[in-house]
Amino acid sequence: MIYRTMGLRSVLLNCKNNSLKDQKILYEYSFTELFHVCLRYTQNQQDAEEVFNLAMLKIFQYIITDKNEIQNYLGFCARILRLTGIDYYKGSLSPVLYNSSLVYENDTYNSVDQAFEALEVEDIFAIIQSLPHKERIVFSMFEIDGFSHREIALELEINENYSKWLLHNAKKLLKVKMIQKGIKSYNL
Amino acid sequence: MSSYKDKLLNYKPTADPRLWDNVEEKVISLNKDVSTRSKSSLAYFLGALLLLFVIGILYMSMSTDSFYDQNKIIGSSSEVHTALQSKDLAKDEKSKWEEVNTTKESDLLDLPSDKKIGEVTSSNNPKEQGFISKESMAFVSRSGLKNHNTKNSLNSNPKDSYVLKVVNNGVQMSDIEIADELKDQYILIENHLNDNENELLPKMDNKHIIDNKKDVSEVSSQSRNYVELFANLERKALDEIFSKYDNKDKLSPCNPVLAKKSNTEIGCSFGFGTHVYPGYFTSVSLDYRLNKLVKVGAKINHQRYTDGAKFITAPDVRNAELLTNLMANISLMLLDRNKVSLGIDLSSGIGMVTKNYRKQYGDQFRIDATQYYGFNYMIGAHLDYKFQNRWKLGWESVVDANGETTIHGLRLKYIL
Repeated sequence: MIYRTMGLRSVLLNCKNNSLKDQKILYEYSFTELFHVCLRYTQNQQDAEEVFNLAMLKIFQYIITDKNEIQNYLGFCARILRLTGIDYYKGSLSPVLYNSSLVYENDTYNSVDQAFEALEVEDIFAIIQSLPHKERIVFSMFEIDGFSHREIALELEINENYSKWLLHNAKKLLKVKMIQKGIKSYNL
Repeated sequence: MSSYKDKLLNYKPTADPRLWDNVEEKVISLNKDVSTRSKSSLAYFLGALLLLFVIGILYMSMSTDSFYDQNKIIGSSSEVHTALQSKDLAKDEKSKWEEVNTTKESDLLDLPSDKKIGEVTSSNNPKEQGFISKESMAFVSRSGLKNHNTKNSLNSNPKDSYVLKVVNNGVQMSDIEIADELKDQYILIENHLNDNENELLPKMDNKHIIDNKKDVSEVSSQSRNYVELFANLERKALDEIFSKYDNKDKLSPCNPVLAKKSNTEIGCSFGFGTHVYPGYFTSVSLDYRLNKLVKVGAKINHQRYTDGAKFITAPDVRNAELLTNLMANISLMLLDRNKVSLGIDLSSGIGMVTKNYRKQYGDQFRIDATQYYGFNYMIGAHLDYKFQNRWKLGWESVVDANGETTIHGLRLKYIL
């Protein structure tokens, strides 16, 4: 890979100087490393690519205009991708308000890992992408990115309990999806 | 076996080149936008800087108008002398010389005066430079004269011209030189008269015609008298000019003593006190203006409390009704124009300091106050308006450092 030999730092520096070649290198590098973030936060491949392009434009703009050097590029990029993915479906997040009468059971679905381990990556993405927007985002943030419910609530500007309820709902839907795919060997 | 999270996180697809093609144009336009934006922002910044610069210059010019005016007024005596030398003296002398040329000289040589009387020519001969003007002036009452000053420029035809007089400001020519010169002139005149006798004689008074047999020494003595006369006239003119400086009652830019602005001012102020210790105060101050920004001075402040204040300060205070502060004062001038000045006063000095102590006795408490003379600090502001050349009227407000006394009042300043 070219970016490995040149070094990410020099690529970023050249991107700051509007070097189109280096911008392409950075784009490809980011795609390889972080496209899975877009896949997890979007509904399908096309949306993921669109979100990725939007996020990369934001990143290029930041690199060119901002004087500060990006210390942790992948972390920075992942955050931009995640927020862009969340914003992409923001219209569908806000109208639904949390109803406190909703009751969710305690998290009994500890064996999701085991169920997913038996699947290929593409299948896992397909199952996650089949979830509704809210559930998919909360599931990705909580289970894969490691955010707490408080952080998710702050990020999505929703109630913390609503976040828990969405996670519960996501796992319940995953169970249905797994059964539909014929995976019955674990206890969802 | 890796967990599904690891599978997801380690999922590294290869970028499709078509994706970059979709976004490439946007990236190019983004680069252009940013570069043009940076250029426009740079132009905007430079424009703003230029605008600020212009405003600054305008402000400075406005604020320093008075400064330069003062400088013009103050001036040094040498500048005044120079200005007078170049203007007034020249005019006075010119008029004197013209008078002399038209009246006195006609007695010596009653020649036709229809040719360029009082013409001023200049000479660069360093020998002839006087102490007043750099260039010596030769007043030639008859044109086309031949003399040692204008030999090259005016000596077109010696025979049809008269040499009458050469005068140098402040230069005392020796008798021998004068005699020689006049002798030459006399010979030229004689020749000319001989040549044009028929033409000139009817116009001349016989008494004043110089006889060919007239002794040269007589002419020489007469000319010496004229030189002395001119020198005396010059001194008189100078005395007349410098006498203007002796008139101390007249305030004018020509008077360097009176025109100089004084930096010292005395003043008094009176007003009322508010806050913890209400009352009234009077003060006397002396200020010296170090520069346009800073004034230093001293102030004696005499305060008297009202009855209410006595109650507040009682019982553990001394001299509760009356106190006098002696303060050193520094004024930082925020605005110092011809008419208006605004500044911040920082004062410190010996004054009455009050300290309050809270004493608790179970549920009861009381406040004890102690007063003593010590260092006290005050801060305030003043605004002055110059209503006459030497008088200023203003307002001042001062509060002491512990916030117990606030005094406001009018103040009157006199510029020494």
